[in-house]
Amino acid sequence: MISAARDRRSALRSICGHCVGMGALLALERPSAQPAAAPAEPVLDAITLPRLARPAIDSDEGGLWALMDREEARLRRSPFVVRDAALSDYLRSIVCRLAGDHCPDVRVHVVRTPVFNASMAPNGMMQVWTGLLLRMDNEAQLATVLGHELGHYLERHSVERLRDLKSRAAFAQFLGLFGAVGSLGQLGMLAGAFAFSRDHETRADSLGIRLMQRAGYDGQQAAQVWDNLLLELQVTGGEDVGKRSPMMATHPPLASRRSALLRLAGDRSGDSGEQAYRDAMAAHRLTWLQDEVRRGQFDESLILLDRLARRAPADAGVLFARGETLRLRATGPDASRALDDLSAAAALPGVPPQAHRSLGLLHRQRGDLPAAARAFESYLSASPEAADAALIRHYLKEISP
Amino acid sequence: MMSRRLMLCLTLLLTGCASVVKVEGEQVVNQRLVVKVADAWNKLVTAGEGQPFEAWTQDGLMLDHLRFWAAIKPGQTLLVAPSVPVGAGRRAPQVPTFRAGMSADELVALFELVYAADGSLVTLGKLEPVRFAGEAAVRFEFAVARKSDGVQLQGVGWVAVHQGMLFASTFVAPRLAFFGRLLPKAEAVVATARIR
Amino acid sequence: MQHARGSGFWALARCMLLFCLVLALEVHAQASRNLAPGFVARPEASRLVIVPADIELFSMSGGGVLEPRADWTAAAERHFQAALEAHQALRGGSMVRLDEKDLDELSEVNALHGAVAQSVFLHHMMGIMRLPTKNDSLDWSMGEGVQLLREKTGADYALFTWVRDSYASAERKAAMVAMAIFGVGLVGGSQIGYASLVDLKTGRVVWFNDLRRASGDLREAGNAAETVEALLRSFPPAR
Repeated sequence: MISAARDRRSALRSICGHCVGMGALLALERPSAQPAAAPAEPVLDAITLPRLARPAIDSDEGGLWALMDREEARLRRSPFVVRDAALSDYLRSIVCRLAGDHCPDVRVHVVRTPVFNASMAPNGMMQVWTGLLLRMDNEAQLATVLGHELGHYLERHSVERLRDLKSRAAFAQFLGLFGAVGSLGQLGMLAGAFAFSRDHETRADSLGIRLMQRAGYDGQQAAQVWDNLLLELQVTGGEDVGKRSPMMATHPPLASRRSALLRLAGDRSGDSGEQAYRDAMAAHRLTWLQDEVRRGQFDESLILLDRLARRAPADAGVLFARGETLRLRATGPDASRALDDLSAAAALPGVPPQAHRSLGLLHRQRGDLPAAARAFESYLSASPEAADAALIRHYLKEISP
Repeated sequence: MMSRRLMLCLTLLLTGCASVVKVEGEQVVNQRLVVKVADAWNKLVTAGEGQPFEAWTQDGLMLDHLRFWAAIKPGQTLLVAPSVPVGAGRRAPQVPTFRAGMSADELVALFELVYAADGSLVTLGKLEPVRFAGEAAVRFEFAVARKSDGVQLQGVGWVAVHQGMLFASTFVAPRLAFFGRLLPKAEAVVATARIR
Repeated sequence: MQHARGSGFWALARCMLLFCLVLALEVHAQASRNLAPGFVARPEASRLVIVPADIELFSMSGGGVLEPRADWTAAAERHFQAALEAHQALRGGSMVRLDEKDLDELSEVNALHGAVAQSVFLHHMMGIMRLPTKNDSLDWSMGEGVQLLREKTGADYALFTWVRDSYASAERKAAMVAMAIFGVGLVGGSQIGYASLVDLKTGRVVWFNDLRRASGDLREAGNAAETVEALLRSFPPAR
């Protein structure tokens, strides 16, 4: 029977996958009395696997692969993809540092969505959402996530997940019939059905760290990434962050993750690439900060913006975003905190014109009309062709008719 | 490609919850906003708890819609968000809520949230003071890249506050051919709006 | 997924039951419903571009989970394309082929057509959510939105097709028999799709047909031709 042969082949493959993963873990957990010079690695190792060949078209993996190819074509045509050669090249260079020989098989797509998420499909299609790029402090942290996803890819975890799905119920059936799910709310629910197992996560973490360190990155940065994300999600309360974030839903938060990652990283030093990262994201940061504010999830945004402001106290864009968020939330002492942030931003070099606008609106709300007028004038002179110029001029006329 | 939007529509109508009626002549939204319809529109009617706005269309909700919000009180939301399971001790995600004393720009920001609620990309355009329904109001233009199927939409809206309550209308249609063709029909209705 | 149980589950079950009923009504093409008012035939010398079909085939496992099948889909695309090109009604006038990669440039008009087709499917063909202002007629147009497609292909008409097909596996068929004993009707696999003919001068959808049934098989050439036959029933010839 064809299906029995298929099951045998797939069982063998998943056992082999486990072997590879175990090998990688064992190599890392061997205590090393020597300093940085690495001991010989075991022979069977996902890093040294030859490039993944396209699976047979009649296999279940082949089916998933082809579906991903179709999704990738749709993604290429989507208005949500960020088409910036410099950004794409930068991300590709990091992926290639990590992926080594597998580099030609990986295609990175940046998707404009203000949510922390990254994924990699078995056909080599990698997606990185701009919400994630906004949240990384440096290149090493980005390499953590990309390396982790490469870990899932190299060990074919997605295919194992698909086999797991056979026992799930009608909901996926209906949606499957009509194509990909679009909304984020639904994505959170469905992503739970596609979650990686604890085992997958552990293996991807360890493989990711090894890829990072082989590429010369500081493995200690890995623990920070997930800590930062969890901090943001926990502000809404409750333990099941999985339902709110597609990333956490597909990558269930492991209680021991932080200590495990630090242990995996060991004492080896490496680059964090903070300046290089900052430079590469500079052209987009203001847009992504505004996308974040526009989510309307003020409590979560403030956790993030506080963290960004601590790291870069003189960043006018971050101060503007935080000030604007406080102005919009308008609860308790928010208004005066907003005033502090926006005034500080307005005094910095590189202040975005929108900061003057926000400051003007805030002053106007608080009844300080002369200050409002001054801020509105600054806005209009910095940005005379602004889309809302007519409304702002109207406000000015109201103040001094 | 068939989207989740279509799925929801199908599910709604198959469970007997939705129908479409013709609207023309004088129409009243939520007993407070009166409009005159010379050129007929189609109105979606849902049984039971629906959205806090009325939705009209010419070519179908997957293409264009004309929405009306009338007499929304402070504390009310502009949108009933798709239900995301909320566990014990957790706060639900913030939904665009009308508050007393909001300025024009804050009101517009609410509608930005309305259209971005499903993950769509919203870009605000021109904002200007106008009159709507006989009140001082703000008119806003915007673009939406729809998350579910990537269709690029164009939109225009009007929002005013009267006696502490929000009255508003938005019209959205695909930017390719549809918006230009249908906008005059939408504007013709909106121009007749009066608060009762 | 605990929350799949409860009221949501039963609403869905009810919904699926109704969907089965809807599927059971094999819709026969009625000339007036499939044609835009005033449209009868394509001129003999007209050029027709066949937009690459959007097809997806699934296998349905015992538990009802849909599994995408690339081999079936690849085969179906080949058979479907061949059947389209060979179809009698499409002959007459000349045919222009459009490749999958050409769609990159045409993504906006293609996405727009998808939304238009969904509207026609839901509000005109299904017969349950009609738009009164349409007066029961096929009255949808993309206007000047088709300009890029017209310029790129030089064609006068464009044919769009879309099919989603699922097939019951052996385990599923066994499960269906078993459940039938208990009086529960399981969906065994179904085929839904549409075909849409757009006049590229005016952007009007001049002909539309849809398919909703529990039979059909795109995996084999002969059966695929039958699906194309069903989809293109009443397709306006060129004369």
